[in-house]
Amino acid sequence: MFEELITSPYNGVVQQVLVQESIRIYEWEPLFLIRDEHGELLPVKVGVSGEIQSLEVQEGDKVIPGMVLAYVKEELVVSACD
Amino acid sequence: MFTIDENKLNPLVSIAVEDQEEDNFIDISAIKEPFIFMSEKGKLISYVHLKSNRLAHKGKVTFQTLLSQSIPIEQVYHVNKIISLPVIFQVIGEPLTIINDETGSPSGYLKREELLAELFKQEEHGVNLFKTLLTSIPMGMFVVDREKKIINCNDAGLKMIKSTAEKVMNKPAESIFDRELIESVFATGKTILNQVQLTDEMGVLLDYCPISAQDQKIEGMLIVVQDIPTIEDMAMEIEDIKNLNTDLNAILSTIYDELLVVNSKGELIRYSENVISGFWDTDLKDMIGKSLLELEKKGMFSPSVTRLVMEKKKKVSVVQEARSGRKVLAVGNPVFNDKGEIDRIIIASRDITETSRLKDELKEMKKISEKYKKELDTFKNQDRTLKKLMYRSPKMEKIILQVKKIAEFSSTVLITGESGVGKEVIAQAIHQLGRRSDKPFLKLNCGAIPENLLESELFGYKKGAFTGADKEGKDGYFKMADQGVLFLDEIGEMPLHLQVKLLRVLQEQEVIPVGSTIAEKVDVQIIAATNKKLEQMVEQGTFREDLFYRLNVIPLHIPPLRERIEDISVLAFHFLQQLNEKYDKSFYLTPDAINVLEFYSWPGNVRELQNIIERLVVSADDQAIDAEFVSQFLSLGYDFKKARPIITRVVPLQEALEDVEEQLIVLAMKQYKTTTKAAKALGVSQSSVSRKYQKIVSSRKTENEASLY
Repeated sequence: MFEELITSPYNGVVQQVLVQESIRIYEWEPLFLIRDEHGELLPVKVGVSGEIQSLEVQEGDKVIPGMVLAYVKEELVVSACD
Repeated sequence: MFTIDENKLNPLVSIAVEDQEEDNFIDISAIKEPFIFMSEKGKLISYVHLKSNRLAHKGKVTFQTLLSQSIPIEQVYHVNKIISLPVIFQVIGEPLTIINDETGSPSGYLKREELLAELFKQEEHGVNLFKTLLTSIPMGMFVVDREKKIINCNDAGLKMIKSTAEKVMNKPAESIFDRELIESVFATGKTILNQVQLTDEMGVLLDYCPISAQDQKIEGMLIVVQDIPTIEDMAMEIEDIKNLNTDLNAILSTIYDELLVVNSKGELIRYSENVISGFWDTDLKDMIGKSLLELEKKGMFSPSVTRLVMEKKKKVSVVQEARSGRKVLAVGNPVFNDKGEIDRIIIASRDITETSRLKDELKEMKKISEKYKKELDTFKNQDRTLKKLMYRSPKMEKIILQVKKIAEFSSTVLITGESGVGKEVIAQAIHQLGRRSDKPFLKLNCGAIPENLLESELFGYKKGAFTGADKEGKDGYFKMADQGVLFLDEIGEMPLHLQVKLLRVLQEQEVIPVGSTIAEKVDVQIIAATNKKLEQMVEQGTFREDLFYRLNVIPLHIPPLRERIEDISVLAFHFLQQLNEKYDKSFYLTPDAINVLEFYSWPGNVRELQNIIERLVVSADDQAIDAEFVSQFLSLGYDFKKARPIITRVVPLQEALEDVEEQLIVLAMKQYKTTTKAAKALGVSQSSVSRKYQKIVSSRKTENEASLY
């Protein structure tokens, strides 16, 4: 088990945080919705399953590519969803 | 309080300034008093010290000279005849003191030494003047002689340096005080003031004052010690801060992360020793006091966490990428001042280049290991397939070896054997063990599908081929089993006209769907199985000879169960275990029950055995299934036509008869145990059974003995 960073791939504003701290997430589950400069709503998904350790942003926060959105305690066992 | 005797006062000799011209000569040698006073309008205004260096031994001087040497009277203390102790401190500094009478007008003066002598005379009044003087000065005094040894000191001084008189007296001054300063005072004769001396025991302020003799030679020195308790506290505080700083630096250097402290302008003010190599193009030392924001503009790395923290005024974590390609996770934490403005930004950076690389590698490894796992699973599957084949007999072992060999190739296989011997299991084994194991295995019972449909089932059809057909057409079994294995069960049931088509597929490896003229290529391994004797059918003309030879590439004959008695117990146990596991029971077969099973002819082969075991389990009352119980289910004695002895090769008749006779008698004896019962079952006399059985037993004995040698 180790810590995985979830970073923003987009420039924009966090529209919605779809997860909470200490909940389990599955691979390719949408975690954040980010509205980019063109007003397009983009989901943040990662190929990581595990437990959300901490959230680093809130709704309304401006983000840039590379900014850490959350830390995830990753589980290396293959999750049930795939 | 003490009074001064009026008689001791010196008279005031004064010259009225109004009466004199500037160039009047005054004979000062005629004046006996050491001091003369100047008066103006009856008031004393100044005095002149006639015995001073300038005026002594001069007979006459001009009034002007006297005036120039005069000292304003204000500097002289006027005291009453009755004086109190603190006055002493006032009068000591001046060479003379004017004594006023009761009305406040000066009645005379006293020289300093006269006044002091007067004061010392007052000791009987219980006043120790020197002691009072010394103790009332809140300073430590250390007197140092020419040899730089401490020769005297006061209590206050000792207290301040936290020492005792024994430890200090006659000791070199440099053992306590600063050697360099002492030497400097002796060398230059200059006073050195306000020297802070801090040691573990004391925190004092020192004045080094030379004691010089008349000829400016340094006779010794006075060290004045001032205790400043706050200095000690401050020193301690400074020491604490120093320690803290040392600790902080130690902590900073131990922390794995790179730590940067940036001020509100984004200028670097402090950094830890663990600098991420390859991230900064320049030495961090040169960056002190410079703005980190500039670096982002220069493109050294991006984005700048400092800028982000300043913009957001809260903690920001971001992955930075340097020009060198290094990836760094930087966490910037703002520190606010009282006004809520950013005062400092602490940036902790961690090199994640390696971590990212390792993570990527790990993911790659995960993929690979998953692949391996899959491969391992297939191997396990193969193993399971082999385990599914229960056998102990050498005959079956030979067949399994053959199966393993066949599996490596894609040759057409023809499996023959009685009904229920496990032809399908063998076919599956060939599929599982072979290279086509991950491709489809399709089973088609040629006898089960209506003749009319068989063709379309096998070869598929094009759209509109016939009424009721699927609109889009349909792929046949051959097409669906492409790359895989097609198991054609009951091949003997196949109609003649289809045999031709099948032959074509086998020959050309292509199919022509119904209603189509275009042949489609297929790559299918054919495993055909039948319980019919195809050779006979060929002879009778119900099976095409060319198809027979085309199928008979690898013939595989599975012997019936009765020809491999060794397998019966293994299979029986296996089926029983399966049932036990399925229904969570614990039935078991007694050894004599196995015996009975082994003597049954099993016309239905393995399938029959499986069903019998299930029937036994379902109807058994007791966990132990014994021979008697088993016998009830087996129709012993009642022979099917297949139980008839089959001679497959030409042997002399007599030999055949003897063989049959022996088999019958042994069978009967095993089943009925006594010769009487056996004779009854065989329909011969008891004596003949007995005789013949004895003969068989003895002959077997000799055979066994012979085999021993």
